[in-house]
Amino acid sequence: MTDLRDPGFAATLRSEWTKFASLRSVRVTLGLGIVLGIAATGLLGWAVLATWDEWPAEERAAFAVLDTAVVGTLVTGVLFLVLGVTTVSSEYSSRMAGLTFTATPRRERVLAAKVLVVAAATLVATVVAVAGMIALALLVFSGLDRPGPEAGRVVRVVLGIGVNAALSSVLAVSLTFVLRSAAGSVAALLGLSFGPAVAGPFLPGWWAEHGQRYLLGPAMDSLTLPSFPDSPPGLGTGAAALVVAAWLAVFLAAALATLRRRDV
Amino acid sequence: MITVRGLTKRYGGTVAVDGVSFDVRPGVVTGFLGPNGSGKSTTMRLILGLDRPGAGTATVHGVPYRELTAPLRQVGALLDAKAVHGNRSARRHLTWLARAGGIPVRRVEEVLDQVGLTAAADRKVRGYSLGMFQRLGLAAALLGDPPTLLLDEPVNGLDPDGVRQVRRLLLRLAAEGRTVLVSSHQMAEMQETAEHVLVIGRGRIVADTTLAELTREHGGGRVLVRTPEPERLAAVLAGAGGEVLPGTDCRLDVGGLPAAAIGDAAAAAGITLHELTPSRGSLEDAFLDLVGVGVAA
Repeated sequence: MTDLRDPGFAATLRSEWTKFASLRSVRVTLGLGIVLGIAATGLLGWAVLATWDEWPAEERAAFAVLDTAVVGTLVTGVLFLVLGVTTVSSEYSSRMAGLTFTATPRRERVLAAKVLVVAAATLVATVVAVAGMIALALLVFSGLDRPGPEAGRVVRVVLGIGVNAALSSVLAVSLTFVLRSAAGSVAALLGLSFGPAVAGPFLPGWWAEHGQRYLLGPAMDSLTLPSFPDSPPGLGTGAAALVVAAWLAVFLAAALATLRRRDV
Repeated sequence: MITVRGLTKRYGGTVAVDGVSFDVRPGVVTGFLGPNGSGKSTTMRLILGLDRPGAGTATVHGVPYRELTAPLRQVGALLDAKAVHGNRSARRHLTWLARAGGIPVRRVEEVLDQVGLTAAADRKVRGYSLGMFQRLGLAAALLGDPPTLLLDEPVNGLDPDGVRQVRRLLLRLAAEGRTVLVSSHQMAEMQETAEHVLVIGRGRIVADTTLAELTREHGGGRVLVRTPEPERLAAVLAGAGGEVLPGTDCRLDVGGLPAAAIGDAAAAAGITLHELTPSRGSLEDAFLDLVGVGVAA
């Protein structure tokens, strides 16, 4: 007699994890993101050390070890976004999506499982990368006679950047289920990330004052990162959490609607 | 049991499947025949809930596929054997599939063995031959030991030995009481395995019948005759309205006359017959007859 019990969401989650972990390209991208991110921080650290004696006194006084340390997250972030995108786009380019949705016809389960797997891997890898960057920066800048960051702030930065990257991966997975193309998704995500900064100066002043902070990127930064002294006014934590949740809900809903309506 | 009613699917302005209705019953192999592009694969995708129909319904065990509680344990499908991520090994590929379906992972070893892929199970599938992809696709379909199987062109790319193995497998699965729907454009293959046939042409079902019935009705109804006097018999039968094609070794291939009429005419002319065999007609003849005439209209 056939066992007709629903294997449940846990089965979909285990399945998506098996898919994700069984590709060498995934392991290489995760490892490369960590190594290249730390290397970028090391490179900047070396540049700072090499020119330190020429720095004006007020710039030396303003130099914050922690802010400089996390510069490598630019590299890590882009690589992990691409990883989130290809995790979904490869299903379509290999036409394997047909089998995925034959095995799990409930589209919301596949979406949720992919989001959780990619976000969890991105969170862990980003935390490792950022911790590595900060450790390297502390080592490199130890001779500069600058005060080291407080432990509490270090923990907040490491976790904040990790959560930021994980939320970005949710965006990458959702958007790629809508667009189904790696190139299209990466272009759209880079546009979303850097577009506001590029277009900002051409927009009226009130936009930078009042509008920009409601965009996904700035709201995520307000939520997850400690503010920098010269950054534009952000949202409070509660408001930022609401704005981010609303944005992610829009992208997830678009992905689910696409999955339910469109032919595989 | 698969039930399809009024299924219709358009892609842009093209009607791929046009009001198709049929039942696929358990216990026999049902052949799903049609030329390339006739709507076989689209119908199967609609049954599996991968594409959304413009109209009509398809159910498996009385339920739309998307609502099955344990789809991999209820239906095994092979649609596109090469639709696999090339950088995964066969074992890993089947493992994620087993996990998704809530199937014990030890089944992976069993189906790998069943399709003869155990030795190549840890190689990346990118290097597989078409025949190996087909075996992997069959393994995936069998993974959940399902009572219903939908196989799209499963023998495509297999060597003769592989074809024979799949043929035996299909017959065994049907004999176990499973519902087996197998599509093919290779008529000869179906002649060996299918008991029931659905013929589709340009998105419409043009025949839904037993194989025997199909070949009897559309197979041409020719009679093979052997006689020591072929030239004289040919003249006699031509005179009686038969269409006679000479063959080798004193054989004649006669159309337009039933076997009894040929025997009577030969006896009346005093010609001895060594053989008088009504041919069942090939499925290929029946298929061309149906799809050529039935669909062009």
